[in-house]
Amino acid sequence: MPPLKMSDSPNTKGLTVRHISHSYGGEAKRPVLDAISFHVADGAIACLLGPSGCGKSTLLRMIAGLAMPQQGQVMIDGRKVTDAGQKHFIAPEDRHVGMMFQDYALFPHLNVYDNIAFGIDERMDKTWMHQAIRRLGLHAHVGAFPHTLSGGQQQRVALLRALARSPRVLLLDEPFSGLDADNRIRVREETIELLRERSMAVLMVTHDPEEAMFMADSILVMKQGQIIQSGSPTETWLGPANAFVTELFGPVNRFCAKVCEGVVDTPLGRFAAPPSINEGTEVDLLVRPDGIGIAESTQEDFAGVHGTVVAARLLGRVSHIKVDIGNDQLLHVRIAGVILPKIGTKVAVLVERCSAFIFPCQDKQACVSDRAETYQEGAASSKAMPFSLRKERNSPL
Amino acid sequence: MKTFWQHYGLRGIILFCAVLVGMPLVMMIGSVVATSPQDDEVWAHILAHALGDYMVTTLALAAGVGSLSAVMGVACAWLVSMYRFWGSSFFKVALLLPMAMPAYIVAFVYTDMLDHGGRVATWLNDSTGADAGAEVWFDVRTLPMAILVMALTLYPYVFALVRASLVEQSFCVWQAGRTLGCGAWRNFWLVGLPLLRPALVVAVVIVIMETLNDFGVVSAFSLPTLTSGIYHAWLNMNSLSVAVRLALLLLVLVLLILLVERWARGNRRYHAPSGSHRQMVAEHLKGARAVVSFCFCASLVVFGFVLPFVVLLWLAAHNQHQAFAEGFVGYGLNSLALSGSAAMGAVALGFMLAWAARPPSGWLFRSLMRLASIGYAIPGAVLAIALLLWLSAVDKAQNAGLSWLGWQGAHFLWVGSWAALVYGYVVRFLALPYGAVDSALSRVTPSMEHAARTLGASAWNVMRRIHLPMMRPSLMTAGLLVFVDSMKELPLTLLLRPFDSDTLSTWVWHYARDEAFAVSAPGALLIVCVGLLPVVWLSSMISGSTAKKSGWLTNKQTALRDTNAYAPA
Repeated sequence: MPPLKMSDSPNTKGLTVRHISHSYGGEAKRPVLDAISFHVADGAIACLLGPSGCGKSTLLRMIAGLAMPQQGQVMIDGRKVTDAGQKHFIAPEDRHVGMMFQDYALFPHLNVYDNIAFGIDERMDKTWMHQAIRRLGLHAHVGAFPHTLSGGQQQRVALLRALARSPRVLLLDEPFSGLDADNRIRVREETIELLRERSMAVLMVTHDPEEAMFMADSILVMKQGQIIQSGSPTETWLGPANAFVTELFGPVNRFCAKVCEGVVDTPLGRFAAPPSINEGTEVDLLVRPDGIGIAESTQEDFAGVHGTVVAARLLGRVSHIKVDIGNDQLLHVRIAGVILPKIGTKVAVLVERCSAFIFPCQDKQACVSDRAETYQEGAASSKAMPFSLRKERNSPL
Repeated sequence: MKTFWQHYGLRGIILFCAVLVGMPLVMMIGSVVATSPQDDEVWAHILAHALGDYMVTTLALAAGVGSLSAVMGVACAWLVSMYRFWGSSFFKVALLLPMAMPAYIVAFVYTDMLDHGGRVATWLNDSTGADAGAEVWFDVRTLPMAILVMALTLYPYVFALVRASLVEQSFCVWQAGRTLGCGAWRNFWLVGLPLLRPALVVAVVIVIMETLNDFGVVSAFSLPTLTSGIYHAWLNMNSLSVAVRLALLLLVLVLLILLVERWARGNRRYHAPSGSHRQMVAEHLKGARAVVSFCFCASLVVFGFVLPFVVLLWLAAHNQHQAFAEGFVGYGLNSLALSGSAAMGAVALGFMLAWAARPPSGWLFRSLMRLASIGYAIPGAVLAIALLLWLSAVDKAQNAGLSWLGWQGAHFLWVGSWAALVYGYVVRFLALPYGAVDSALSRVTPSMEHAARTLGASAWNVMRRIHLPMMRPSLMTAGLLVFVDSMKELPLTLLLRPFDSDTLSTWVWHYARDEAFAVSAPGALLIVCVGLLPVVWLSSMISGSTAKKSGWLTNKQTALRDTNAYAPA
């Protein structure tokens, strides 16, 4: 899929990555990065979102100049800093990049102040740094050593250290993964505030979709070394490019079926197949649990799908309800508010069309295998009943 | 991205160190081939009359010292770690003190006191007014006494390593043993000893290495070991070739022990499972048990340190004028300068070596690295013989080269120079700073290095601003250890020192051999006092090893690795 914000002008401000490819191993080459291209404009925040091991961190290190790709170019503010073809390489210290590491990499022998000021020249203006130290509540700890700080404080020190040099490009490698849930939300807000006031391109690596949605102007979804979708958070959420992207944002109800006369007939009802999908193709119907509504009903007054509540749990702001829709199939539903129907209640199931996605079934194996046993094995339908699924995926919602 | 320097310079350093250490050994093995009929005669004589004695005594000494110090070390480590009794916290430090005592100095003190006509015998005779003392007096210069004296000064290695390993284990392990029906005694045999085995094996091998290395004690007790055979062949019989053969025999013995160690340790390493790590809660001992424990620990400290130290103090106080007249200050300065240069040289080289080895390179360079840090396993006498051969070859080549260039007059020699001695110390003790630097480097994570690079520091600046400051404590410690060890070192110094010059250790040895130990007592005292420095530091490190596991203070833990550096890789 072509990147959305690709720019060809060499004078563009911000970070430009072009056709970066890299593979490990000798003969049996395993591509780590496969023709990655994108652009992050000055002042924009982009998020590389993907599961661990998809090459996100490797890409970050190549942009920072800590590793050399086998192919491709990196440009910062229109200046070529890496060009594998021409063996052109500018050392990391001369690139004006700031990088924040997952383990923070604070220097244990330097106190907080010296850590933050590590990259700053004597002649540089330190006003912003002093203000930021105060604003983030670190002024009481400037003399302390990193190991005496809490996780949140360490994160702030690492962030300030990377920002203090006013880098043109800021790279954040899983910046919040070391924090507990409470801290994470607070530190995230602080961070985004801080990033907004400095003009630079920010590229953040994360595996947490919520974090990506919160922080980013654009999300680049990576899978096995490739960018498979890029766009704004809203675009990505509302129009995921495939089943992988859909599932990246959280567990879904998955049903397998075949396109028949432009229609996909599933136990959840009939859905119009997208025009791009050919007749007879096996497809996956993915429905987000929060895109399903239920209403108490009797058999007679509703023509749609009916089911029986088998479990209902309150998870705080949302309620999680499991509905048996017959044929041994369970449907996971999430509804905001305290909605806890009694077990055994007959309900009518309503699917919000914009939360249901149809993609050609990529994993044929999963589609024809007899039974879904685990979350990973995917949806299953019996060969004998290709259209009617016996059981939706056994997802641990 | 790799510069020319990274590619070749770093490997050059490894190669240089390996040549520095390896060439003497290669020369030694090569020189066995070339012998004269005279040498063969001497060798035949030794083969017929002495070699059996050498082997038996050496093996008996090694086995005796190894097992006795193991018993002493494990017993006292177990007692002070698991129990509380009167003085137990004092003993945690005090039991390390004998480490500061070079075995040969303790041997000189005891022979000086207990020999026929020694101080105690004389005093007994004087006080009883008859020859009664002399008649019942026993012979002190025997193998068992030598074993006892060496075990008394070497058991702290066992104590330190076993205790560190005990402190690292979670207390819950012992508690679990108790709840599963093991009494204190069964717990020791079934849980304690197996868990301590890796540490114990390392410690005992260190002790045996030190025993094989020793020359001072065996010369004080006039025991025929391989080491004394080497000296005898070279200094009295003037046959370097025979000395080389004996040295090779000793080397083979060392290699065998290293093999046994590897086999005994296997891949065993017991890690306390992470998570809850409960500090040891010592049990209170009362009554007879407390008395026995106290007496046991106290006797080790008294006979291993206090008594010899007091005697040294007393002797030094009474003989200081004579000592100064005999050139004590000059020898002291010699020792200081030599040990200082050795410490600096070893730390610099060890640092470069560990730095060069950082990106793990191929098997060739890994084995060269091994070779470069093998010096500690080679007995001082063997190393000295090897260096003599190597340096005289270098001398010959150098002078041939100089005369070819037309420089007829300038013949400067490596053999018998102070530089050669420093070279010997550096080769022998290189493993200490190398091990320390290596473990210190591992605390600089790759991301720290990367962070510094993205913050504008060049590769050179990263080393200057990150690596060096983070490693400074480890480097200082390693330097101190090399300094102290060089100061104590006797066998290597005796063979390599410049003609007619002495260091403190050889000076002490000369006087002790001439039964005038008292004159050189101030020198011995000075060696002991310098040796106390790292012991004090070591004791603070062992008890702190669990308290401060995280953060910058972990460099205290390096100390443990430093003691492990005593163990051959």
